[in-house]
Amino acid sequence: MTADPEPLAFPAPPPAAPAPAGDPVEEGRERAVAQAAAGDPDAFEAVYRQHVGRVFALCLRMAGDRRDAEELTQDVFVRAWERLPGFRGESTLGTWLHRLAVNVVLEKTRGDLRRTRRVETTDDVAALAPPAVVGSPEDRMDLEQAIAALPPGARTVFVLHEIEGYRHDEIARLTGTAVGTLRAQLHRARQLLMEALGR
Amino acid sequence: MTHSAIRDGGRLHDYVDGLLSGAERAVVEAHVGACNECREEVRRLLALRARLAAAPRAIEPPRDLWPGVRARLVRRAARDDAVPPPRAFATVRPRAAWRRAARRHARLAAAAVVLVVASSAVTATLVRRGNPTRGAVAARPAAPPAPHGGAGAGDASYAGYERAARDLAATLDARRAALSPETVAKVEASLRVIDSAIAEARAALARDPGNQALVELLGVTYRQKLDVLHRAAELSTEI
Repeated sequence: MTADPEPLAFPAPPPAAPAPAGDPVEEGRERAVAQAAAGDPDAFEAVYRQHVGRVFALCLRMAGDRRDAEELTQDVFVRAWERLPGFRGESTLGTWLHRLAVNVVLEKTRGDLRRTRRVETTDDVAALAPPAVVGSPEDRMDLEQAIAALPPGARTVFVLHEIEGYRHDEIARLTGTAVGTLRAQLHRARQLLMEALGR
Repeated sequence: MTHSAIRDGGRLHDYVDGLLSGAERAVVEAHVGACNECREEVRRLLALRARLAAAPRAIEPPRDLWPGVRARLVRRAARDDAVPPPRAFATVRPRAAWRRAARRHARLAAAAVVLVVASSAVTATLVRRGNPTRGAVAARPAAPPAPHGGAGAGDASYAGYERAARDLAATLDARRAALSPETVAKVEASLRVIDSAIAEARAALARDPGNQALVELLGVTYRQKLDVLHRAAELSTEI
């Protein structure tokens, strides 16, 4: 009887490498952030260009829909423009934007839920309908499509935990979901993905 | 722990996530080693994890979203006062946003004065000696009146302030040797902050010439500059 020898620690998102002192590229970015915070739209566009890929990826995976993701990405940057003057540099701008994006997406999700009265009150995630696009074992869906096809609650937990590296307690605080519930949603999401990806 | 308890309780996920305590982990490891089904499940979970780890962290949107962001900022700036206007976009200047900017400038200028009057014994001396008597007030160069040109207020409106500041700076410069290097450094640092506030206020006013709050702010900031210069000049003559 041998245990699986593979390392079990889930990979955390790669930390941002510290910029070497005097790095002109990093200095240019910091200058752009300061200028954007002071109201310079050209500098803000530079900030947008630098970070839009990361923000869009988060929105796309959490929303599960390209058009929604585009709108959410724009929401994030509009919100960023409003709040940038309050950015104190205690974290990197990327981290700050990332948190902002998570909040924007979760607010949108909660708003949608309120509007459609689709409030999930059950802890029994197995009762959630599996995504309709998951078909036969022969299906080899693209990873992004498979994530998009997850049920909304499970997708949110899955993306935050598996891709963005949030801990259970952090997700519980962000989403207002009990740790037990989100843990079950996470496991369910993995099962659905493994089925969808045919592994 | 039975096979069902391990599977139904999500223990394999917790095992892969490294969330199990030492004792629980040992139990699950022993079971996984003996159970083909659970070993295969662990393999699938690890394969999924590896695939996710390789997924890109950034995905470029299929179309350029910046024009949409820009258009929304322009619309919002035009619609309400909640958003500072992107300078190059907006034609409507929200007053509240500029009032906030004005308060920020005022705080900046006030901070410069506080720097001078409160940061050291030298500056305390500045305050004490510079505490204006009636005579001292009368001896100060009269500050030019704040312009009320509104939309027509241009650079010329502040020429009086600039000239008075230049005169005082020249006086101070001539007496610089009478002041300690510390005092000179503090005064110069304060003046740099105030000059920065003036430059910002002037730039804002150039964009929004009709903003009376900015007009008043600029006048106040100039007067603060003259006050700092005057106190420093006074000190230099008293030492």
